Formats: sequence, C-alpha cells, structure tokens
Amino acid sequence: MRLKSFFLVLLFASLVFSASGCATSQQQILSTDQSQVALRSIQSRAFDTTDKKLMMRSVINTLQDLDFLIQDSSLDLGTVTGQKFHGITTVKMSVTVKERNEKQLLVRANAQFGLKAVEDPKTYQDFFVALEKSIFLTAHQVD
Amino acid sequence: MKWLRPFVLCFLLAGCVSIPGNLLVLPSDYLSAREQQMRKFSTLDEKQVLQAGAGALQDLGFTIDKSESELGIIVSSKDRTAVSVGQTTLAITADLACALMGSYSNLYGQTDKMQKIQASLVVSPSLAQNSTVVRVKFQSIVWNQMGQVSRFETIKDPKIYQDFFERVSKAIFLEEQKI
Repeated sequence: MRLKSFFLVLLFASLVFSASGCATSQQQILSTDQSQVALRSIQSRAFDTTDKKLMMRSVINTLQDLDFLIQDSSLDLGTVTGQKFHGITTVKMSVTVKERNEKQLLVRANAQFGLKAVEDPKTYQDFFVALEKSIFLTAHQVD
Repeated sequence: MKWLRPFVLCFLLAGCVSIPGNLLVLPSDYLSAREQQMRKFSTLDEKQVLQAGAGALQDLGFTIDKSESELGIIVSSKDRTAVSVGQTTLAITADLACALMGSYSNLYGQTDKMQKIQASLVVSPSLAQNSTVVRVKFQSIVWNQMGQVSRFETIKDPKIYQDFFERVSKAIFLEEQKI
C-alpha cells in the first residue's frame, strides 16, 4: 500500500514538473517573458549625439569595462557583440546603435545569461549607467 | 508521507537558474583594468597600429577570427592543450587507488584536456593627444577530458599584457623603419 502511494506521488510530481517546466524548444523561438513594447523600452536609451562612430567606440569600451570580450562588430549596421563568463555560465550581449532622429542616436542592448534572456530592467539600467560613464570619460579625455 | 516534503521542495526549487543582479554593474576595479589592458602609441595611423597588433597576435600564435578596420577591432583565438602532467598523474594514481580498494572513481575524466584562448584587440584614437590607444583582453576556456567546460577565466597576469604591448611597439617601430 505504501509502495502504491509512493508511485502515485512520484507520477504526480513528474506531471507537475513537466507541466511547470520551461516552454518546449519550438515555442522558445518566438517567446519572450515581457511584452515587446515593454522590453524595447527597458533595453533602449536615446543619446543627444549624432556621432555614431564615437558612440560605438564608447559601447565597445563599456563592454570591455564590464569584462566582456568583443566577439564581433560592424559600423555599417551599428552592432557590437560581446561575451563574458559568470562562473561557468556564458553571458552574451549585443548592442545596436542607430539614428533615432536628426539629433539623437538610439542605443539598444540585449543580453542572455546561460540559457535565459535577461529581461530585468535594473540590469539594463546598470549597463546604461556604465555607458554614460564611458561617454563622460571619452568627452573628458581620460583614457 | 512527511518524508516526501523535501523532495517536493527540491522540485519546486529546481527551476531555471536565476540571473545575478549585478550582471552589468561596472566593477570597482575597472580603471585599473583599463590601465593594464591599454597602451597609448604616439601615432595617428590607426591602420598601422592595427596591423602591428595583428602581427603581435600572430607572433603569439593566435589566428585571426574576425577583423573590422573601421572600428579597429581584431578578434583572434588559439586552441592549445591544457594537460598538466602533475594533475594527470595525481588523478590516475587516485583512480588506481580507488580501483584497488574496490570502488570506482573517474578523477582522470575531470582533469584539464584542452583550452581555447581568445584575444580581442581594439584600436581607437585618443582624444588627449595625437596618439592612438590599443586595448587588448585575453580570456581562456578550459575543457576537461569528458569534454565539459571546467572553467573560464579572464587573464589578469600583468606580464602577459606587458609582453604583448612590447611586441606591438616593436612591430610599429619595425614598420616605421620598413625592415
């Protein structure tokens, strides 16, 4: 009797576990935890400059300050990709820079931690604080 | 049924790994890291510095994976062995000792097998003077005999950076002299 109840509990636990797990592999392709608009506002900032090259160099500098190793970049497309490690977890990040209007540039960053997308506003806030510092440093010629 | 409670708790806690809050916080030592990773060269010719950097990386056995001259970036890597005789001997001895005592262990499988060392080099103009700044960073990934990643590290040994920059300045000097 005890054995029977043990198996019943085990069956129940595995059912709960499989139902509560992450989405299946195909669902993951287009899945995000946040709404697209919310995510975009978390990950983007506008800067009052039109110097794309300088902005991209600041982004590269910031990523390096944050211990990222630059993996790829393109001035035409305005993209920079970097990678770093947290313990044995890989952290990957890409940043895009594009013109927002005649006076501003839009910088958007997105990161993944191991197998998870980073969608926490505070993390991106930290990144933009670091980027602001880097622009400040560039402007004030500390390098 | 009380004994089941810890298991249920384990299931609940075993979800996906949580993301650390300080993931993108600027480390407190970033200025000293800059000092270590950056050197200023008194030339305005970015292309020449980039070529000298590529040469220095090749001197150290790195192969160039990607390069972009507009932003002055070179990404390179090298694959090397990570086998250490001491570590391997110790692991095999321990495994043999376990086998003799009738138990099984696979410490050998956890010893280092290979490593990939990656280097990224960024060349940018310095606004302070008529000079160009080179920033380089080395990282290594080590795999064990079972093919799992055993550790990642950013290389922080100042000697490696010094050696690298000496090579770059030598290469710039050589190119200036056109030897």
